[in-house]
Amino acid sequence: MSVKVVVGKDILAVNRKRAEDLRARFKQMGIKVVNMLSSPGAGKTSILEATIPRLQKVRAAVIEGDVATTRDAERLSHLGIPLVQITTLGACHLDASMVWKALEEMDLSRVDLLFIENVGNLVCPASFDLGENLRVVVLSVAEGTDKPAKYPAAFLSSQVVLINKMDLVPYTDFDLERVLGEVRAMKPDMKTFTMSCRTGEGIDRWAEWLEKWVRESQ
Amino acid sequence: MHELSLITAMMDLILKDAQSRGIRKITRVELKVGEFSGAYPHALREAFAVASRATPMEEAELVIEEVPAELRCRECGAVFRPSETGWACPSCRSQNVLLQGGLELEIQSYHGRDGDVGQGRSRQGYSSGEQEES
Repeated sequence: MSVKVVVGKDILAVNRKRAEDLRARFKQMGIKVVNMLSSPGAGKTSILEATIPRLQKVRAAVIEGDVATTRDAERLSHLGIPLVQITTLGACHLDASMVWKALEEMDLSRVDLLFIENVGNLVCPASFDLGENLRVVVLSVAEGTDKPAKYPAAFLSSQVVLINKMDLVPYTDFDLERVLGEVRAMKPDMKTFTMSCRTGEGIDRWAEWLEKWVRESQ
Repeated sequence: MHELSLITAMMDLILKDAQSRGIRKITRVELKVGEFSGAYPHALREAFAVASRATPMEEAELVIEEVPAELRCRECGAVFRPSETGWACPSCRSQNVLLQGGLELEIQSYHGRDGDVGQGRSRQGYSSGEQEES
């Protein structure tokens, strides 16, 4: 006999369930979680290097996602914070079960804020909930103006956009107003920050906002 | 690039469900994939061809319904497709728009056979799925 079974389920239902479990676990631990997305080389690690030392009352930890190397984790090791590297061995995104596993290797008892640096990729990571409370997408000036419209899933699923490498604006045809306009058209309540990790411009403002967000949402 | 992960997640869900219903062979799978979901139908098919080997889904036909991105203007109610020039409403120029279609990544249904679905237990207790005989 032949049967048809109507499923009507999200393909990622299993990941979503795992992410909800993670979110509950983080809540119980009193930890806020930020999932950072961007193309390769937009500056996620540089932003973490610049942001974490500026956090006054918030104690941070990092999970680093990388396809093949531990270089990003090495760059952050001098910060003296709990840090775990997930090497995905080719996979283009982190998923909730990888984060679950990474937690086994971390002491989060004195942590208020956990950053998860996703694999550099604006497509795949957008579909995978990692149990975060805030999703931040980083866009760098050198990538050009059209990224939000080209990668809508990444931008639509984020609450904050960081525009990095602002020191390069004079050397490119990057149109900040146009990017901000496109981002707002997609998501009117999106929070945006401009910055340059090279000059340090704009980092304080973002770090202050982040610290306030962690404390107020606790 | 993550299509293989999506396909294996889809297969896990269906194979588990099929097993619980006593369905031993899957003949057809219907997915709904949005234009902005980040998954490409061609790559999904390639991934399925590889991942389904030596499973009860090996010979299943993979049917993908592609859902175009669709925006709705919150001001005037116009429904339109996003354009290269941005997401503003073509009727009233408002930028207050909502993406109401295009992010789908769903398993619609699957078809199976050789099961004992007509008898007893396998028909009961599934709130998330309906079953039709054909």
